[in-house]
Amino acid sequence: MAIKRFIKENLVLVIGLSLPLLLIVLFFVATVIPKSMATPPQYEMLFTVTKYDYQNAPDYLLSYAVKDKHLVVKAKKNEEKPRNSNINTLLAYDAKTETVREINIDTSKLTETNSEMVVEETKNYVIDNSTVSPDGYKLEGPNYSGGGLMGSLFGGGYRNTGFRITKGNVGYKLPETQQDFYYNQVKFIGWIIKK
Amino acid sequence: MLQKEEALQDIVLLAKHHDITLEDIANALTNSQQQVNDQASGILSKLFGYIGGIFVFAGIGVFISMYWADFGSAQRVITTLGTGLITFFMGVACLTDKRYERAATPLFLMSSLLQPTGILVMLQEYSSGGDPRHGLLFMSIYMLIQQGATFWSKGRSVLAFSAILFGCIFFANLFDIWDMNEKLIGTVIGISLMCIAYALNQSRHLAIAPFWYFVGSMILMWSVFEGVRNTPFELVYLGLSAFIVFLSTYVRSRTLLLVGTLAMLVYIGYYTAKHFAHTVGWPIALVMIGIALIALSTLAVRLNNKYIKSNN
Repeated sequence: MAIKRFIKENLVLVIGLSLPLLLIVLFFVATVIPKSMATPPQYEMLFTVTKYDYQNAPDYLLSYAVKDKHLVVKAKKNEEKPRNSNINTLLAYDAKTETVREINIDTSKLTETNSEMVVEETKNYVIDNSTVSPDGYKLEGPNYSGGGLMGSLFGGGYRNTGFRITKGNVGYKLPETQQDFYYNQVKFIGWIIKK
Repeated sequence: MLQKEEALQDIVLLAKHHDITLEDIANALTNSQQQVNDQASGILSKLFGYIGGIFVFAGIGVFISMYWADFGSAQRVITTLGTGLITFFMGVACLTDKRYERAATPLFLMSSLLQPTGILVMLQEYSSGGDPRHGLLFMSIYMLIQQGATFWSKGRSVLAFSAILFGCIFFANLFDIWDMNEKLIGTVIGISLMCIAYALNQSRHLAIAPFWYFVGSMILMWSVFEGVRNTPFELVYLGLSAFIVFLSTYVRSRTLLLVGTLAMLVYIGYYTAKHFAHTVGWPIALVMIGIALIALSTLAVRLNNKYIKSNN
């Protein structure tokens, strides 16, 4: 009864205080609930990120591609002056556990060649390089935006939504891909259909 | 007659908020000279209180900046967060004694600057990295609870002000972490702040209402403009600024009148520059803006005199 009277006497205040909370509820209804009810992506996503390491420039510059449903790599001796410090790192994202694992390539076996060779570490993988996975997910790039006046006044500011695997309203954000967006761009390779 | 009735309504409202009895009003009216003297001593007391607060704050600030590089992590936290906590407890203690009540506001202001700084320094010195927004979230929720609970208990306007401020920081960072659309955030928080400012205006904390009216309406107008710019709904912004002018008359706020009028003028300028900038009609448009400006300013003054000034 007392609460009812308080609401009646302070209706505008109650509306003012409730609006941000209502936005939180709407956010959950629009994102968290559909995600919890949807089937997560069944296939891991293979991708590369470019990392800059000035002190450990790689001996070979690697570029990956999918040929006949297998991952192939092309190696080029790093002879640029100054040496190219960009390292192409191969990663796989599992949306079911929302984790990223690095696939280490044994560079000692690499020789400079114009031909592509199948990556030993992933030779048993069957990879689909279609933009959309067989279960309907696709990789979406980041949106960069300012935080508006609200962000400028109270925090938030410049933001980067990061890379996501999406299907309709359901999205899975790739972790640790936005620490340094300039040198950390995600390059899609394909979906691991079979391991 | 209308003015007298409205003035009476205001007196009733103020008497309710400050627990003033009929006897107090009668005493004040009969001892008007005493009231003038009390007011003068009150102003002096406030003035010395604020100047004293500024000196104490300046002293602490200078001391911290002088020795900051020599301080270790613990010393940095103690000098910022520790001092902030002490000033906060001193502020609360001052409220228990009528003689020191006036010192409470400067102390609360100092504590609401030093405590968040101290928390951020503590996180900077001892945290293991991570997203800085999580640190801001932690700081703002701690401050919101502290200031909000103390406001609930003591009912001081300064605490209401800081609770709203830290609430805004909390929600801005929370929604930002969740990657919500910044225009939606701005619209919701802008409306929310305007509602809170309206409630403050109806209470004894009306002194802080204009500030939050200004911030809320600015955020709302900015966000709506960002949302509708270069879309077929762009004129919605003009409609909203007209609504803000109307709202200013309803809630009797000069601040809203200022924001609404400025928003309308800025939009007229933007629209004219966008569509007529490179045509011969530009000088004519400038004249039109001038006429519109004069018309709007006249209208704003008229609205102020008719609906706002007469009620204050």
